[in-house]
Amino acid sequence: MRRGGDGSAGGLRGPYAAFWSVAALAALFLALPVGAVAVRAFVGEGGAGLGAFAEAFRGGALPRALLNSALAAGLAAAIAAPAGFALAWAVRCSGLPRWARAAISGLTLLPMLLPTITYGFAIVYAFGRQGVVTSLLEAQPFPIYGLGGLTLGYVIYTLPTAFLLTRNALDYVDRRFGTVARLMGDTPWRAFVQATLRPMAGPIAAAFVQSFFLAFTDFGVPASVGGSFKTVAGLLYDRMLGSLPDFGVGSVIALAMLLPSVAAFFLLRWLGRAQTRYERPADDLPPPRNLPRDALAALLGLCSCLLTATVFCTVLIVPFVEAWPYATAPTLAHVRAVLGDPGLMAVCRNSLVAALGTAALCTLTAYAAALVTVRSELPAWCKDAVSAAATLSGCVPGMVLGLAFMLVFSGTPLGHSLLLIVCCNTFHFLNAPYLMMKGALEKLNARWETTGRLMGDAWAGTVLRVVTPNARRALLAVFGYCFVNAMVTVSAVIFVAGARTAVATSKIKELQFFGRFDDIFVLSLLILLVNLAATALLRLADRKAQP
Amino acid sequence: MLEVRNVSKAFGGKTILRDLSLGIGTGEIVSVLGPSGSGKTTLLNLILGLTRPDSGRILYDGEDLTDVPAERRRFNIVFQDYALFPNLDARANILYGLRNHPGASSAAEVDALVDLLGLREHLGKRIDQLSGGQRQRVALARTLVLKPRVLLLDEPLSALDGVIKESIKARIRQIAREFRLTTLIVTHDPEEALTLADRVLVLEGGGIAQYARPAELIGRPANGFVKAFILRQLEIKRENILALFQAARA
Ligand SMILES: Nc1ncnc2c1ncn2[C@@H]1O[C@H](COP(=O)(O)OP(=O)(O)O)[C@@H](O)[C@H]1O
Ligand SMILES: [Mg+2]
Repeated sequence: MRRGGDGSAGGLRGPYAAFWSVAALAALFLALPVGAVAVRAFVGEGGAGLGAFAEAFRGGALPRALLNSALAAGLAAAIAAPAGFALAWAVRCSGLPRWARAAISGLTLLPMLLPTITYGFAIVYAFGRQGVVTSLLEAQPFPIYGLGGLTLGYVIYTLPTAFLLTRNALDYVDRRFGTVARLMGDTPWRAFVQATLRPMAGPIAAAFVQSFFLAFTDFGVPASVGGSFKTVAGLLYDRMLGSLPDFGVGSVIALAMLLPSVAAFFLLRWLGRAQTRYERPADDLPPPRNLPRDALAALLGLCSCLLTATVFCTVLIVPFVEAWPYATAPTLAHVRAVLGDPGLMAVCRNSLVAALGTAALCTLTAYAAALVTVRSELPAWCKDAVSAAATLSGCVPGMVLGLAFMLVFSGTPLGHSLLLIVCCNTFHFLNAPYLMMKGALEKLNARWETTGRLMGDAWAGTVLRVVTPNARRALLAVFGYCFVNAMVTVSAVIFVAGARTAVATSKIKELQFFGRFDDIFVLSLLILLVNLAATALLRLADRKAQP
Repeated sequence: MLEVRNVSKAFGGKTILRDLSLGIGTGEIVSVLGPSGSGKTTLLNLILGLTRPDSGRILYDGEDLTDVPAERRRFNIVFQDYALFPNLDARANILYGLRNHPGASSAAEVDALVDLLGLREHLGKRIDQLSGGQRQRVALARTLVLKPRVLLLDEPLSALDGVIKESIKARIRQIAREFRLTTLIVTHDPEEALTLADRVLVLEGGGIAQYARPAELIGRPANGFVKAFILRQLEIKRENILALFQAARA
């Protein structure tokens, strides 16, 4: 809907305040750090030059790591994208009972509530030499350190995203096409290809690219099962937090990580635009009875649930037995030890504070940014600047942002503070919340601000009294998204968290060094419980917010 | 007296309104008629102050309002989609503007308005529980409690069905008379325009095709466009209706 247009400038004070707040934060916590990395790759202590590049490429470590990352991420994406679609199909297009579809969705999405670094340890405890599955099979199914474990970890990590992407896209595929194809005498397979697979090609490709991007930039999985199979993320970590940090080489590696991410981001955007959007059919008829189809859907769902269950049962078992796998007597000693350890409890408190802070700041920033772009009459350059910031945030991998923060903020009063973690997370996550907010605000009546203004409101008044209450469900969803992500993220945080501001995920990485796996699993379990509780609370709040 | 003097407006090089001048007497109801895209909404936005004219002036009782921001002109509008606030009930919507302008209407005046518009039993309802006609009346009430000097209505009837349309039309006339409210109603339906207004403004090609009383418009259409666009439509309608009644009688 068209807006009033070039009205008086008097009503723009509020929008400008929102714009400058977002712009200032984005400049300080996104553009400046990322810019610093780009500069640092070319300019070292000894002046400008390509010295850092020569150093990074010496011995072929960086090219090999890039290749390794691309290989593992590509393999994982090639599995996760079709698997995610298959599950989405099972949930959306089959006649499975409601509870079964809910269970498949729930278990497929469960890994999102845990840090990726935990997946690796869970894989070790499930498929390792002494693992739960290994002892059941009496043989190790595949070597877990290196490509095998890495790929499995990435698949677990990216499957929920691929599932969500394709599930949402399936909602826009008009199911009546399938009925029409069947009525015209197509075989079930042909009808499926014509009416479902064809229109889903774009979203499946998008799921592949998104999965690749996530896996390529992930730090947690290689940190736990990478072994000697070096990924870019692992290399960056070694160079920066290993022995002697080398900012020049780190920046070069970060750039090498950033470029494919930028490419992936724009590829995704292009895929999203190329996608045909069908009107959602009003009559959501239940699919016709079809036993073989439902059996297949059930089988697919069962596989996914089994995968999640095998891997993550370890998270539920290990903390509660004496010493897996040697002494399997049940005990609460590990849980008690963690709960009684003031250091670990401080870590949990930090995690909670950082996650709440991130959820608050990221939601506010995304909301202000979306208000600027879709609900203000600010000049185009303001809107372009805001969407550019959101785009940049979507392109920059967490590790790159973390390194950038380390480069810029170490030694400042902000350095290693929880506040800095909150700011880092905010701009690490910003893109998706911004897009969610934008989509929600675009759907609201475009005349409210004008109406409010004619009744004497300042812009901020109408935003507070009308727009915000009507956007509360989207705000809640964004808040939850940011909270859960902040609880499980490790890639950026690993560079920003300090000794006194360690959060659960960065602590897990540290505990790994000391082999304290019981503590690792207890911490992971705590993260899972907090996220489950947060999700349940938000769902309750959402139900209340429903008109 | 509301005056539009030599107003021009272009968007991106395309002239929408060219050197437009007209006057509307206080308490007068004027309907604005024209094909889609002829600049009806643009004219309302110019008068309201949501859009600045490229040239020309807007005056009210001799006061130049061209540079006065919309919120200080004491004009108000009911949008075609009403733009009601769904997080508030009907009552809170109606009273919304009184927060910023506490003196605009007394409690008794608000009461009278609520009764006049037949909204008493709907005050506690949420917006999504109201019918189209009820929403329209809530939007009208929300605007009227602020006692605007000029009331603008953008296609107020196009979202309503037959019977409600007639009752809202009567209501709008009654309010305009009772409050001596200068009222501008945009519509694309000739019948609506001619039965509702004291005078009809016909826009075409960026200018005024005719600005006259309904009877005059019918009796002496100013040009071929008015004939083709308005008279022809009305004649077809009349013939259809007459044919229906004759068929029923036969
Ligand atoms: N803010 C704007 N920016 C660009 N073009 C506009 C704007 N407002 C109106 N227009 C154009 O002006 C013309 C007249 O629009 P409008 O006044 O809405 O017509 P009507 O209400 O008579 O249908 C249309 O072609 C429309 O596209
Ligand atoms: Mg219009």
